[in-house]
Amino acid sequence: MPGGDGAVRVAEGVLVEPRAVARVAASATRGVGGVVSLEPTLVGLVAELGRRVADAATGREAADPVDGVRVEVCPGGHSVAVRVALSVGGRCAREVAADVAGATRDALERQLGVRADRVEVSVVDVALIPPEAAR
Amino acid sequence: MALNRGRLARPGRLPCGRNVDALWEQVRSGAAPDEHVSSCPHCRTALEGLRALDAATRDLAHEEVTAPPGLLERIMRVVRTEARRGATVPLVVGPDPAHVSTAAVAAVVRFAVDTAPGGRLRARRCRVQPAAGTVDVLDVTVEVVAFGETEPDLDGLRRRIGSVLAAHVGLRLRELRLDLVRGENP
Amino acid sequence: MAGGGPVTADVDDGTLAIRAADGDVAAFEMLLRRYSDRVFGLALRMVGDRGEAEDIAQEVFVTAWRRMAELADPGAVRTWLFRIAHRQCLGVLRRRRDRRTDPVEALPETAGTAVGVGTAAGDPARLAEAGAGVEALRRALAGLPPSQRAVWLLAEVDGLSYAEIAAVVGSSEQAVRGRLSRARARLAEVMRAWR
Repeated sequence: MPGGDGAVRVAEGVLVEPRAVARVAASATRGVGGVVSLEPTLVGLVAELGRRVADAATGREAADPVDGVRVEVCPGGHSVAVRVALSVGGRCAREVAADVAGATRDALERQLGVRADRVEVSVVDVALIPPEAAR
Repeated sequence: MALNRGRLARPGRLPCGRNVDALWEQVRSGAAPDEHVSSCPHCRTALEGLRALDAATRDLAHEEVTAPPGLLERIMRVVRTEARRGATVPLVVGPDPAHVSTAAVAAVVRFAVDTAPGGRLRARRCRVQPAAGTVDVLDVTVEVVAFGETEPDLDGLRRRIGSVLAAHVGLRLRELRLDLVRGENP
Repeated sequence: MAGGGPVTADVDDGTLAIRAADGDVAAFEMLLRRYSDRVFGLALRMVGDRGEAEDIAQEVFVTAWRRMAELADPGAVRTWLFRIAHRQCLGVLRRRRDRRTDPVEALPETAGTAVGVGTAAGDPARLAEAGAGVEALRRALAGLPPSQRAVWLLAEVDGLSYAEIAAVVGSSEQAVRGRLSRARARLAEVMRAWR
């Protein structure tokens, strides 16, 4: 099957890496009102479970730019499926999820010329303490 | 060596017959030694050690030991990630589907109960299930502990849970079961 | 921030434990904040090494999170956390002992690392006066068998009752009294010699 974990072909001879797609998706998601944070997935976390591993990699404290975003190149290699996991707060989760999907589609199209077949949003947390009170 | 080796008639007793634990209680309470203790060489020897132990114990117990902040953060990352593996409820269907974890929805329900006017209600167990064949409709069961004498306003609580869910999550309630439990201490 | 409702500080342990067993992350975090210092402190005084104590505390709370639903009496979550911590500490000490075949090498290091509790930032005058006794006590504690050290710490530092300690270490109250009494006698002896 072409595609898989390879790059996505946006035009003749123009390839975009999934990681670049993930970065743009992450940035678009963070720009949506009501998104509190992107959330690392289980796979990303396994490496951090050990104390010493985590301490040695202090750079990881600042979340990886693609934490919480997974990109798969669709069969054929011309489009992608994106999955985003996030925490919301201060706005209705359903509206935030819809806006994230829209913003991600637009950003991928505009910035990379990449077409998304599917943008799936998982809301893993709803923050109920207003940010100013949580400080 | 006077306290716990061979010369003891019985374990925990000094050669004079006094019990070491009783002496310890005396030291801890700050009581003045009785006549026997003040004059008995075994008791006085034991007392010296116990007093030194008492002072050092107080200092040790008053030491502030604080868990490293990184520790809490690491534990909570594991916990949050594991909490996410659980079931989800669909929020949006179509080419761009969205779903929300039932644990997050349950937390919103508990929040609605805990912050109800009067402050006398506390949510405990909460079950959240999508109503079969629907997208944004839920069945919720929640155990509510009510403190105080007054009868809780259950209709008001139902409305509140419904509106908090709608505002924070965007889901509607189909069935809401409230299991009311009387709390003993406020 | 994440994890749900603002669980206020006055919520009792039992309610928090029930919620945490139900998957409420915020409730679990409240329990963690309530007991992390004490669990870490017990581990630190048991094993005498900050790094190992941190590992133990992490293991205790992750285990607690995963097994919260098995807790029969949610109101007794504090004792239950100590029980998990106690088991972890003894495991670490057993593995440490198994690694060290040379007892001569093992002794000074145990005594030395037991000094690792963070008091260094305190008032120097107070430390000079009171600190010496505490250090002597720490060394004396390091010389106790782990089962006696645990019982003594739970009673004198954490203030648990005999019944609670018995539940933590999994033995009878009678046995706890005996162990405590032996620990106290040995500690008093060392402390008298130190003075």
